[in-house]
Amino acid sequence: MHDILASFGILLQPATFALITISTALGIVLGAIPGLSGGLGVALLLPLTFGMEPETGLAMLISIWVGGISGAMIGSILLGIPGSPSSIATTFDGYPMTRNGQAVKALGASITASFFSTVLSILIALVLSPLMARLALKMGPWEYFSLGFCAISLVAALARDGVFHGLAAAAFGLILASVGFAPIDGNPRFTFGNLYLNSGFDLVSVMLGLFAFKQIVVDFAKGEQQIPQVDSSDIRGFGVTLKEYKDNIWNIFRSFFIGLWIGFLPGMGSSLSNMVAYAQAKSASRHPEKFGKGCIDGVFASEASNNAAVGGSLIPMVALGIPGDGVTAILLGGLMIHGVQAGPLLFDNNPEIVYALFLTSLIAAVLVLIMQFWGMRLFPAILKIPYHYLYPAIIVLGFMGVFVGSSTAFNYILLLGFAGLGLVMDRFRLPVGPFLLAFILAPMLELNLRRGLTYTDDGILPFFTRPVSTLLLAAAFFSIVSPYLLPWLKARKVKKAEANAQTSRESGANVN
Amino acid sequence: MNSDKSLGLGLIVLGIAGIWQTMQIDVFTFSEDPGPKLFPILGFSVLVFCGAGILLFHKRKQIKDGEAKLDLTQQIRGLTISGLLIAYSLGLWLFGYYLTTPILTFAFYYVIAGSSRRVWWRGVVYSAAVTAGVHLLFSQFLNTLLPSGILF
Repeated sequence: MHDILASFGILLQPATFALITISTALGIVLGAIPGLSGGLGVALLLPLTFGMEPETGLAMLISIWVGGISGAMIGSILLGIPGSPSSIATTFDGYPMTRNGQAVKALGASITASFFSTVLSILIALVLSPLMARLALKMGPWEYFSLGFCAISLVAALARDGVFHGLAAAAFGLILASVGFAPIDGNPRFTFGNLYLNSGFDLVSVMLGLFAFKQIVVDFAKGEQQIPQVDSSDIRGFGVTLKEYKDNIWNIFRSFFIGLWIGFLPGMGSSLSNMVAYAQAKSASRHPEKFGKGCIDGVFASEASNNAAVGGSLIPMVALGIPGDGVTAILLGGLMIHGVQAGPLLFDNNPEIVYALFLTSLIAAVLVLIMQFWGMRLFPAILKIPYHYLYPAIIVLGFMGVFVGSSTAFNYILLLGFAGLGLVMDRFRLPVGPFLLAFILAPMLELNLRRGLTYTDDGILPFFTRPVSTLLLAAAFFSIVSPYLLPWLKARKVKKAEANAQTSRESGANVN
Repeated sequence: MNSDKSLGLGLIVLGIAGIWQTMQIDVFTFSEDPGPKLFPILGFSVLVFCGAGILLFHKRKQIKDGEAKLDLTQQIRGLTISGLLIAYSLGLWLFGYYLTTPILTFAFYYVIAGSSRRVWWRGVVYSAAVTAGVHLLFSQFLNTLLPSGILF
């Protein structure tokens, strides 16, 4: 308790608190701008923290990160362009809600779900970090592979045009992610001698191409330049009714636990959790047909899960010294630069750092709530900007966003190439969600598949004999066959019932 | 042939070609490691499987195909904006950010606004504002490099 109060004291000093506030606001802005993200902000501003006290420097980085994850939904909801992979699923229903004139409601749902999840996940992380970290260590490559495979199958199975379209899109994601150096042995694949392809396709180029640039080309080609109407005059509070919250309590909690669980698995993170939670929300919904057309349940699911990963990914970082995702890897680097060794001994050696990490996240979450509450009526002003002003700015930001990551013009080709791929996928009704999820997860999948095959002499067998792995693979198999199996079973049942009724009618007639 | 049939066939051909191409990767693996070929082969096999599945289970009626098709005017508009995007990427590569961005931002504004909404001086002010704003954000605030171009 003493350590917690001491950390609070440091963080609430005027200068530190001002830094947290500014960093949180910066994170929101970076998260909202297509092509940038809170993660990029953390990476770029890491050198600024070298001269600061460890608690202050980490507070700054954590605030940018929390602000970035929460701010990413703004672009997803208002423009249909996810600010980062953590809010891809938010676009699926958030943007249609904007198109239906419900931008403020979508923002309100997103803000409250984000706040709830961030705070709860951090409180859980604070209490259960050591215990959950030990649990994560028990999972081997077999379970990690099966989890990734299950996640892709769940999302692919929800494809509007059938599971084969979803799986085909996911397969494209796996194949395109194979370009470049292979994991473990570093053999180049499908690079055709091009040095730029050695490190594979840049994720920012893929995302901006598939979402932003494809959308701009389609909208302009179709002449769709009508600005969505946003009526926020009669919106009270967060714009979401008590009934909508009540109807989504289970959805929010389920998505929260999905996000927390995926977040604390090393190497996973909010990029995966938002998709899985969305898929789960849709498959468990009583009205799955409304998903993708502006259903608030989808926004709740995605945002509750991606923010739950904040606390979730802090757990392995703090307790094991293993980063949960790319951003926590940078944060871990920040800790090491300040001479702090993350891992099981961190709680004993530097408790003030541990509590500063968690408390900063809590303070940043509260600041995000306040800033976004006041901002949610202002954010839709973006939609009032005519397209001839909005789109050129997005195009320039997009090109610069893909350039700053690697300072190579080759990323322009990728950006335009993936916009073209997005158009082709639209033409053949291949969904973008499974493609992107598979693309993001592929390196982890391949690494764990190959590790799983080499760790024992039993080859592929442990994937099917270890309980958690078996369970996940069974869920994946069921999700793939269920769209065909369930209607078939239903039809068979109806046929059987009809045959029974016919038999009983005939036997009744015979008795008479 | 509807789009499902052509997609199914295309996926099968692509999958087989991909498997063949993957087999050409020359590698030496050690111990039990299946090597770098396994994963792409798995991906291409899923493509073949999905192609066959789409062919077998494709919907008889040609639903939604028409939705995706664009008429000639729309195709020309699509090509125009695509051409501008390619021109911008080439400009950035050859001439760099500061020369290309004001010109191409004006071009994007001019084309997207259309004849009824464009006002040339607004376009000029807007292009300058976007160029300066992005410069401030990236170059000054985030301290990153903007494209300099290979000709200068």
